Order: sequence, then structure tokens, then C-alpha cells
Amino acid sequence: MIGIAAAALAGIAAAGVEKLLGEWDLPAAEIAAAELEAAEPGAASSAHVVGLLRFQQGMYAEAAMRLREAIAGGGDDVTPGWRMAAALAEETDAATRGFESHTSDGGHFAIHYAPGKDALLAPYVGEALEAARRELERDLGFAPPERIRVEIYPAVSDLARVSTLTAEEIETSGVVALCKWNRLMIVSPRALLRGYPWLDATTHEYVHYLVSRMTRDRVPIWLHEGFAKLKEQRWRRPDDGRAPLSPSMEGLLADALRTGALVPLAKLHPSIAKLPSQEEASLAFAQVATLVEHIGARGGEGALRRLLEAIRDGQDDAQAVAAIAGAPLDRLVASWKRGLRARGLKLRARPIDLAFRKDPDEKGGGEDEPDPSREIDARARNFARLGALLAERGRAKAAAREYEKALAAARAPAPLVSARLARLYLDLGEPARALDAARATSEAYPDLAGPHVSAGLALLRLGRAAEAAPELEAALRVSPFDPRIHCGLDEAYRAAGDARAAREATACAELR
Amino acid sequence: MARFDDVAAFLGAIGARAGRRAAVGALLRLTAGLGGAALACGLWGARLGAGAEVGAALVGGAAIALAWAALALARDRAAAHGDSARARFVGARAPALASDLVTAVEVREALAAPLPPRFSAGLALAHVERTAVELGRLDAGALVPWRALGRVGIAALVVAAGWLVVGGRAAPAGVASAAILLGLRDPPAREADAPLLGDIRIEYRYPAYTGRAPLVVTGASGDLRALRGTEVRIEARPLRALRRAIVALPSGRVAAVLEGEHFRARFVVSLPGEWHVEGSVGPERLRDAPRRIEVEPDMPPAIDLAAPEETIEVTPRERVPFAYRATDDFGLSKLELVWRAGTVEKRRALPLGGGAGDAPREAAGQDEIDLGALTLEPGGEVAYWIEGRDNDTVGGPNVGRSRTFSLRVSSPRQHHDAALDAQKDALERAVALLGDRLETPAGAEVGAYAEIHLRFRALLDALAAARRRTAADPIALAGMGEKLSTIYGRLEKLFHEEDDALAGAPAKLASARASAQAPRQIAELERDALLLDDWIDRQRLEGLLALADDMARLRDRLRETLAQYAKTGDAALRREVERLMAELEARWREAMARAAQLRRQVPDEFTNAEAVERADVGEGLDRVREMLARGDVDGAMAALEAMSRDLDRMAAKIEEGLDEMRGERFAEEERAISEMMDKLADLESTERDIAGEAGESAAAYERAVKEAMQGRAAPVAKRALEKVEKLRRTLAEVDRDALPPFGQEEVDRARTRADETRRALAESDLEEALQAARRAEESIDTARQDARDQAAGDDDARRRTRARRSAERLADAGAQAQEIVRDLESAMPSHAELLGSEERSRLGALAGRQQAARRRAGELAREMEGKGEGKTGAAGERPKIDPQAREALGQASGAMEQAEGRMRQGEPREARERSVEAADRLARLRQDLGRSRRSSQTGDGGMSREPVRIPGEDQYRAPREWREAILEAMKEKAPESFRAKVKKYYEELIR
Repeated sequence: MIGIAAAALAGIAAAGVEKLLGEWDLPAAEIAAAELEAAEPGAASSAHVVGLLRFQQGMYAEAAMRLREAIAGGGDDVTPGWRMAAALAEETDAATRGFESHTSDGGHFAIHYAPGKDALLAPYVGEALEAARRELERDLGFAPPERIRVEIYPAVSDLARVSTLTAEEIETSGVVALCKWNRLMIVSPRALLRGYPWLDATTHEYVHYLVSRMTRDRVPIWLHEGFAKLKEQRWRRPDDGRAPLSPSMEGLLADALRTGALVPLAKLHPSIAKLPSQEEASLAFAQVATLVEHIGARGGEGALRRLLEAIRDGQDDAQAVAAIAGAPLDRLVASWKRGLRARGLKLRARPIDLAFRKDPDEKGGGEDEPDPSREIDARARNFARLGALLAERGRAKAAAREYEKALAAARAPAPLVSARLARLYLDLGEPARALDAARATSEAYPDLAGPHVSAGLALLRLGRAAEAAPELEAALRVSPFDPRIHCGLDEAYRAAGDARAAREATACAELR
Repeated sequence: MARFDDVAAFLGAIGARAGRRAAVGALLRLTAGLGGAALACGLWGARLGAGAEVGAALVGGAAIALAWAALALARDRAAAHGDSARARFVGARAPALASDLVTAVEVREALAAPLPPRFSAGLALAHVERTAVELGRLDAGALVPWRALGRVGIAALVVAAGWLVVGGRAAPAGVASAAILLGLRDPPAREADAPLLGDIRIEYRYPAYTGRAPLVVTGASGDLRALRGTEVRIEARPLRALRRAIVALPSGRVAAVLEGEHFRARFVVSLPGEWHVEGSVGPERLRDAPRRIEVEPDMPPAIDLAAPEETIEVTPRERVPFAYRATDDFGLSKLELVWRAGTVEKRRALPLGGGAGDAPREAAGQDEIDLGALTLEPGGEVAYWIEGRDNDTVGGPNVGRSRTFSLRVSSPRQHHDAALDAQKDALERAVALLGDRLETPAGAEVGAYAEIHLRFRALLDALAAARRRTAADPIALAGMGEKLSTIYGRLEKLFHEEDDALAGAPAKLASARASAQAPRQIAELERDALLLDDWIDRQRLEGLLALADDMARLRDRLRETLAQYAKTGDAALRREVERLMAELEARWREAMARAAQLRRQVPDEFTNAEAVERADVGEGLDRVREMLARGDVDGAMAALEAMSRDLDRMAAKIEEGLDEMRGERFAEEERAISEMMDKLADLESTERDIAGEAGESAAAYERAVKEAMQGRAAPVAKRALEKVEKLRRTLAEVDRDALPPFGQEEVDRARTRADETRRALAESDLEEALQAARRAEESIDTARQDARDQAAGDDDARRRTRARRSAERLADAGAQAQEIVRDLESAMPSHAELLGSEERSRLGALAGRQQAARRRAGELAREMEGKGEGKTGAAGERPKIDPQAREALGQASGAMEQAEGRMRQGEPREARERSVEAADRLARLRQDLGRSRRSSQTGDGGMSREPVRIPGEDQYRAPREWREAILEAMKEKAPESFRAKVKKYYEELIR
């Protein structure tokens, strides 16, 4: 009887540790786990929760060992969840084995990455996260004291291994970064043909971390994502309370408002990554970001901080939102829609899906995807294909003529074609035309690196180094493995006497 | 006493030295004397001819020489024999010591005597001592010098030198002379003034292997002509009193037998040359005139080899037929097919015919080289010929050889790759020319246009080459050649226009004209470059998919073989499993390599190359191997199934990519084919409705038949039953195994149908019985034809006889079946009687619908031919529809026409059957059309590379289902150039 009672008590204590872990309270979970282990040294439930704790602490090998021990000794207590946890720990251990690490200058982030090219990313990630930590502490009055683990995976399949997402879900939704189990996880931009806004994505995940830590992870997914989207660029932008909507997101939102095809908030659960397309995921982000923006605007100064605190203190999201914004959620949503309509959103650009590379080691990233012609209608596509055929054979001038025809024939914006054309103009020694072509695209498609690169390089050739740096930095935030960006930044920083020139020169030499 | 010993030792040394000198001296004398005499006599004989006188001189000279040597030896040895003689010998050469030495020898002898000496022993010893001291001063070498032999030595050297110089001439004559003197051989014969023999009779006894009868030639000249190894017997009448006659031959001498008036000799011919007879006539030796010996040659076998062409291109699995005929003058002992691939030469015996041990003079036959049994790499060459040996047991077999033929191992894949390369070259040139055009500013110098014009010419040449290569490509995409021709035609027109513009005009005018033409050229080049790019990409993808198909086929065979192996544990099957796995692995590696290439060549969204890499076929096969090595066949099959799923996924992904490409790049064509398939589906549905209605009429008709026959059917059925029983007995007597496989099947079918007839009659269902009897009659007729063919064409006489008897029995059965049909037909009421007016008008209306459906089929066929209103493809070309599909539609249309006719004749059952047939054909056509969107890029152009191994012996008969499957497969499309081969291949399988 005593044994049974002891086991039951151990089980209850273990559940307590799991709850603490679920609330992102690792220090408390650690103490509770230690007490449990001391009280029940050989208990399977102790081994299980210690395994979970180690997993969240990033000690994957030990976690896997403890979780397996728990399964071996767990008898009837073993649930499918235990087995899944053990398998996940093993997979994560295998996927991250041999990773190198870099600690951010502020010491608040430990960035782990696969040896090789991804080492280039770590300092940039560290800088962005430290900046985000600083700014968001100012906004929300909280910064996690612990060192946060960040992992950069070389391929989409690695992210799938270490998460509960499948590779297909990742590629379908375009969700290439996650915040879960007390860490930030992103896929290296070299896994994507054109790269992606990897630094914003990392800080986006940091916002999730922050919100989870602040609220003991009680925030519903729509609010979580809204917050993260709203604040993801805080590390590089002042707080104007506005959601950073790209033109394509604006266009999606405008379309959805017009057709009534908004994504229901409930559909966001359990994750935006489970949405059926990148387009829908983008729309969802645009919706929740502007909704949170609306709540913030209605609640006035410090509203969002108060909203999080209210949820932390036990209010549910509807109550808290109603209290802060002064209206129940359904009315708030209606007023948000009205506000959006009043904003006069325009369809300026169609979203471009993230393109995943089959083999991350194949090419270095950048805009050199083989065929930009799929984005346009058939007639224009044929010209673009001819442009590609000619460009591949070194016939830059003729290729430019064909791309020009493609653009003239296209009935909709063709950013990839424009990007190609800008690059060809550069190759042909026509920087002014290159700048025009690139700017025409980069404004509508800020998440495409190519136009930024072409614009930056064109500006450098035109002797306008100071203007070139922001263009090249924008490119770097999307496609960091393109040597032209680093070489150009080196030149631009040197012209401005910026100390960062040295780092860019090194990257330029390494990537070339 | 010691001094006595010194003296004795000195004298002993002198004696030994003198003895040696005497021996050497004797040898030199012999050399000089004997050698000199022999040399002189030999030279004499050589000059004047060997003879007894020379021999006598030789013997005399030798005797003198011997005597001289012996005397000299005796003399020299006597001088050195005994101490006293030696003392005197020394004394003669050292006079101062002569007396003392002799005295010393005598003193020693006296002291050794039993009586006391008569002199003072002391003095004597002192004398001896003094003499010994004196002897010690003498040099034994000087006392017995070698130079004393100087003259005789020189003489011996001269003689030896003489032998060295002329010994070769002298020796034979000398020896011969000596032999003649001693009577060991005959003295040389002189050619007789008149013939020695007359009435010559020659008998030839040829070697046994020739099979020739002995030949006797009387009154012969004596000249011989015979095969090597022939025994020749000569009989003649001596014309002179011959003694000791011999026959001299190139190979030696043979003694002849002389008995009274008969001369007989016997020898075996081995060398060509001359022969003659020698004999003694009185004291004289005479030689008859020489006669010729001619050796008749045994010719090697002459072999004719008839093969398709001197050098042909073949696929690695092909069977190459050949025919041969070999002849030999006496007999063939062996015939072999010899083939050589690289340094490896192999042989296979070919049948000679005849019984064991027979050596026929002629052999002929047909056979084939099964390249599947060789391990041949594409591009390799195999030389082959036939080698024959005759039965010559005398000089060894003579070897004859046919003309050499060659097989160049090729594969449709190689042709396809070459065509693809040529198309790529054309594409490159088209893109380059487009680049030139776009980059040339308007109004450029005429020279620039002229240069581009030259490149235009090169593009046309490249297109022509691509067209040629594509025409030779057995697995080219349907319509590819036509497309190239169209492109070529359009560009050629532009080229000629530019030619005209540039020719003969002043530079400025020419430049302006060329510049004006540039936009049209650019538009055309843009269109053509895209077309070429589309088609090339598509072919690349199709190639990968074809490989996946190949792999799937291999996997299926592997699965079957593994299952067989699991049942039987047969080692041969295990080896086959290993071979199939190796082949599958090789294909997979090729697929991986192609997928990697595709990534660089074809847009990512179409390739799905990672699907190939994820397939893990290599690992899957490793697991199968591992399980097999452990003896776990079930585990191996499970591993194979797991790998199989991977493989299917891979093929599906590739197909998906290809579909995507077709949808995007060939959208119009796809749409046109889809529309065509929709129309076919509609037509099929209509036809099934018609068949259904015809079926209803047929059912009504059957009811009417039953009603009409009620009460009348039983007696008719009873009578017919007796005849059916007779028919069954007759069919049972047919020797089924004497027929070829198809004929056997027909016999089985006829028996089954006879049974069906009996069953129907037992139920008094005359209509059903009539149908079954008609079918039985058809089968009997077909089987009888097969039996006749077999009786006419089988090589084996026994099988021919059996087939003939079967044909006879089948003829009887045919007559019986015909009678049953006739009886039943006459017993049945007519269709018109049975079908009421309502049913007749219903059938009439149905015939109208059938006619309309047939017209739709006709319209569809015209669309397929490009004459209808179908839509055109992206570049204005109508999508290419396989001619076979059009043919199939024609067959469906034919069945519809028959159905319509039957409807109009009021025969609903037959009408329904024809309608169902038409609908089935349409369904199959739709499937084929779906498949035809893909090229037939399987390894060997639609023909499996896999040799189908037929287990067992020649007598093996394939199971019916299997053969039916093969017959179905035969209907599938093969590339034109391979069709005959495919047909032959399948015929082989079911033989």
C-alpha cells in the first residue's frame, strides 16, 4: 500500500514538474524535478520529467537517455506521449550533434549551428536578438534573464526532425522558424532558393519566447502570432504601433476584406504552420498583426503590456482584450475590419511563395533560381524563358531584350523577371537602368533580395555608397550567402568609415 | 736404403712421363694417319663417286695408319718399361750417369736377391747414394720432352683442319664407299637404257576415313596420284633379270618382292615427289626412269554462313538468326559457331546431322545467337563465324571457316541519346542565333548580317542532323520528327529570303533588307527555341520515367522469381535472383545519375529528382541480399516489398513532374488529348447503352425461342445429343500433343464447346446449343488447319505422321459439328418468326442509334487524323495521335457496323456481342491513348530487355493464361523498326 501511495505521489509531483515546464518556468521546474528525484530516486516518472527538463535545457543526449530509462521502467505508466518525447529527444540529439555555438555579445543568446557556412549567420543573429531584447524590454517591461538557446538548422528536414511539424507542412505553410521547448529554432536561409527574412523570423520567434515567458504561455495562438508579427521588426524599427505589413500582405488583406475570405481566428490553432498554403499563412499573419495593432491603438499607451499582464494574471484572452480595448472581442473585430477598410489597403503586389532548395549545399543562396517565368502569364512567360535561356549562355544583352519583352507583355507585376533584368543591366554596365528596374521591384517586394542587391550595387557604381548600404543590408536580411552583398557592404561601410566593413570584407572573401 | 727408393722414384717418374708421351703420340699418329687416309679417300670418292675401290683404299689406309701408331706406341712403351730400361733410357740422355745408374739398379736387384752379394755392400750403398744425389740434379721434363711429338702433332693438326674444311664432302662419300666395300649397301645405280618394268598395275587403297573404295589402275604409267595415307600396291613384270630390287621414294626406300616374273612393292604415300625402281642386273646396278608422286589434297570444309547483314546493329538481348551450310570432300567431324567479343572467344557446337560417329559430307541448318546469354556492353562488337573440321585422321583434321559477320551491340537508348544530343545542338544554335539577332542593331554593317547568315546555315544543318537522328531513334517521342521538319521548313524559308536579300545587292541595300527581316526571324527563332527546349526537357523526363518503368518490370520479375525460389529452393532460381538484383541495382544507379543531370537541365518544379534519391533502392536491395544470405527468404520478400513501395512512390513522383510539365508546356496538346479521351468515353458509354438494349432484345428473343420450341425441342435435342456424343468421342481421339500450341488450345476449346453443346441440349436449350455448336465448329476448323500445317512443316517424320492423323480426325469432327449445326438450324424457327413486330421495330431504332454512334466514331477518327475540328497545339501544330490508336478506332467502328447489320437482320444476340466488342475496344483505346502521351522509352524501345527464360526443355508448353497474356502484349505498340523483332520475340516465347 505504501509503495502504491508513494508511486501515486511521485506521479502527482511529476505532473507538477510538467506543468511548470508547460508554463516556461524552467528554474521552478528544475527545483521541483530535483526534489522529486531525491524523494523517488528510481521512479520512472522522475526519470521522465527529468528527461523532459533536460530536453528543454538543450541537453538532448541525457534527455534521450532518461526518457528511455523511464520507458524501460515505466510499466503501465508509459503513454504514447512518453515514447514520442523519447523519440523527439533522440532525433534532436542526432540532428544537432556536432553543432558549434556562438554567444551573442550581450551574453543573452547562445546560437547553435551546423559547422560550415551557417557560422556566418551567428553574429548577425546575436546582434538582432540583443537589439530585440533591448527594445522589447522597453516596450513590455520584461526581458528574460536566462541565456536563450537558438538553433539554426541546415535543412527543412532538420526542422521537421526536431519539431512536431512535417517537412511537407513546413514547405506548404512557409513556416521556417519555431519557438518551442524553451528555445528558438530557425532554418538556415541557404535551405531556400531565394532566402527569406531570417533575421525578422528569428526576432519573431523571440517575441513568442518573450510572450510565453511573460504570460506562462497562456496567450492564445492568434494573439501570440499577432504580437510576434507586430513586434518582429522592433529590433530595427522604432515603435510606431503599426504592424509591419509588406505590400504583398497588404494586398492579401485587401483581397480578403473585399471577398470576405479572412482566415477565422480559430483556424490558427494549433499553429499557423498547419495552414494549407503560404498565402493563407501570410494572410493570417497580416490579420492578427493588424488586429493586435488595433487593440494596442484602442487601449492607448502600454495597452499591449497590460494585456499580457492581465492574461498572465489569469484572465482569458477575451476578457483581457475587452478590458484593455474597451469592447468585447467580436465588436473589436468588427471595428478592426472597418479600420482596415478605411485604411484603403491596395493590391500592390502578389505574394511570392518561399522556394525550398532540394539540396541546401547545392548553391549558396540568392536570386539564382533557374526560372523566374512561372509567376507570369503564358505569353510573358515565354519571353522570360527565352531570357533565361540566353542569360544561361552568357548572352546578357539579348537576354535583357527578352526580359524587357516579358515585362511589357506581363499583365501583372513580375518581380522575379524585374530582378533578373536589373541584374542583367548591371552585368551590361548600365547601373542607372539597373537601379530603376531594381527599385521598381524592391519597393513592392521588400523580401526579395535580388532587387536590393542590384539596387545596392548600382548605387555603389553610381558613387552613392551611403544609399547603397541600406539596400544591401535589406538584401542581407533575406539572403546572407550572396557574396555580392558582403562585398558591396564592405565597400559601402568603408566609404562611410563604418567599422563593420572588416566583418563584411571577411565574409566577402569567404563566400567568393 | 732410402737412396734406393730415391733412384726408384726418379725412374718411376721418368717411366710415367714416357708412357703418357707414348699414348699421346699414338693418338696423334692415329689422327694423322687414319684421318688423313679417310679424308683422302673421301675426297676421292666425292670426286669420282663412291665405290668399292675407294672403300678398299680407305680400309688400306686405315690399316697402315693403325699399324704405324701401334708400332710407335709399342716402341715408346718398351723404352719406359722396367727400371733397367728406364735407367738405360735416362743413361742415353744423360751419358755421364749412364753407367752409375745402371749399376745402381743392378746393385739394388743384387741386394734384394736371397744370396749375399759378391761385392761390398757398403761400397755399393755409397755408389747408390752418390748416384741418387746426381739424379736429383736432373730434370725429368728435359729427359722426356713433349716436343719430340712435334712433327706428328703438326700432321694431325693439318688433317683435322682438312676435315674441318672439306670433311662435309668427304665423309659421306667415304662412308658410302666403305658400306659398298663391306656389302652393306648397293653400289650406285646407273639409269637403265631401257625400262626395267612393264605391265605395271597400281592399286590404291585409300585411308578409311575417306570412304573411298580401292582403285586399281592397270597398264599404268607408274605416275601416282593419291591422298596422303593411301596405300599403293604396285605389281609389274620385270623386263630384265632383276635382283635385289627396291623402290626409292621421297620418304625412303622400300624393298620390292621379286618372284619369278612378278615384281611387287607396297608403300604408303606420304610426301609428293618422285619414285623409281632400282635393281641389280648382272653385275650392274640399274635404275629405272623416275615417276611422279602427286599427293592429292584433302580439302578443308567449305562453309557458307547466311546472316542478316555483314554488320548489323543489335540490342544486347537480341537473338540473331543465321543459316549455314557446310560441305566437305570426305566428311565433317565438327561444326562450331564461334563468336568473339573483345578478347573473349566462345564456341558452340552445331548439329551435323546423321548418327553418332557419322561424318556427313554436308550439314545445313538454322540457328541463332542469343546475345542475352553473353554479357555485352552497348557499343561493343561481336564477330562471329562458323568453323568446321573434317574427318582427316591421317594429317589431322583440316579446318574450314566461313565468312565473318559482325554484330554491333547497340541499344535504342543509344540512338535516342544521339538524337537528343543532336536536338540539343540545334537548340544551342537556335539560341545563339537568336542572341545574335537580338544583339545586332538595326542597320548594322552588311558584314555582320552575312556572318549571322552563315550561322543560320549552320543551324539548318544542325536541324537536319537532328531530324536524321530522330528518324533513326526507335523511341523518339511521337511527332518529334515531324516537329523538327516543320521547324526546319519554316527556318529554311526565312534563310532563303535572307539569302536573296544579301545576294547581289549593294551593301547598304542588303543591310537594310536584312535588317527588315530581322523581326520575323527573331519571332521564329523565339518560337523554335522554346519548342525545342520544351521537347528536349520532356524527353529527358520521359527517359527517367522509362527507367523507373524498367525498374518496376525488373522488380516484378524479381518478385516472381523470389517467390518461386521460396517454394522450390532451386539454386538456378537463386542465381537468377542475384542477376535480377544486380540489373535492378544498375538501373537504379543510372536513374540516380540521370536525376542528378536533370536537376541541372530541367526546371526544378518538374524534375522531382529527390524522389529518385529518396527511393533508397540500393539499400533496399542490400537488405534483400542480407536476408537471402541469412537464408531468410520470407524476410527477403518483405524487404523487397518495402523497397517496392519506395520504387512506386518514385515512379509516381516522376510521373507527377512529367504531368506538371505537360500541363504547363504542352497545355494545348494535353487539352486536345483530354478532349479526345472525353469523346471516346462518351462514345463508349453510348455503345454500352446500345449493347444493353440489344441485350434486352436478345433476352426477349430467347424467351420467344423457348416458347416456340416448347414441346418441339426435346426430340430435336435428343437426336442432336447422340451426334454430339459422337463428336466428343471423335475429338477425344485427336492426338492433341501432335499439334502446335495454338492448335492444342483450339482442340481444348472445341472439346469444351462440345461439352457446352451437350449441356445446352440436355436442358433442351436449342438456341444456346446452336451457338455452342457453331463455336465448336469454328475451333475444330482452326485446329484442323494447324494440324495440317504441322503435318506439312515438321522436321520429324513421326510427328508429321501424328499431325496428319490428327488432321484427319479433326476433319471428321468438323463434318460432325457441321451436321449438328445444320440440324439445329433447321429445327429452329427463323428470326423473323420469332421476333414480334415491336421487337423488330425496336431493333430497327437501335440500328439507327448504332449508325449515329458509328458516325461519331468516324468523326473522331478524322479528328485523330487531323482532318476534323480538333484544336491545334501551342505552336499551331495539331497534337500527334498515334496511328495505332486511329487503327483501333477503326476496328471499333467496324464492330459497330457489324452490330448495326445484325440489328437490321433481326439478330439481337449477335448484335449485342458486336456492340460489347465495340465498347470494349473503345475502352482499351482510351487507356492506350492515355499511355500514348508517354513515349516508349523503355530500355529497348518497348521491348523488354529481360530475356524471358523458359524453364524446362523444348517440349515445354506455356500455360494458357501466360500465353494469352503474351498475345495481349503482342498487341501493344512497338516502335516501327522493332516491330518485326518484337513479333518474332513473342513468337519465340510461346513456341
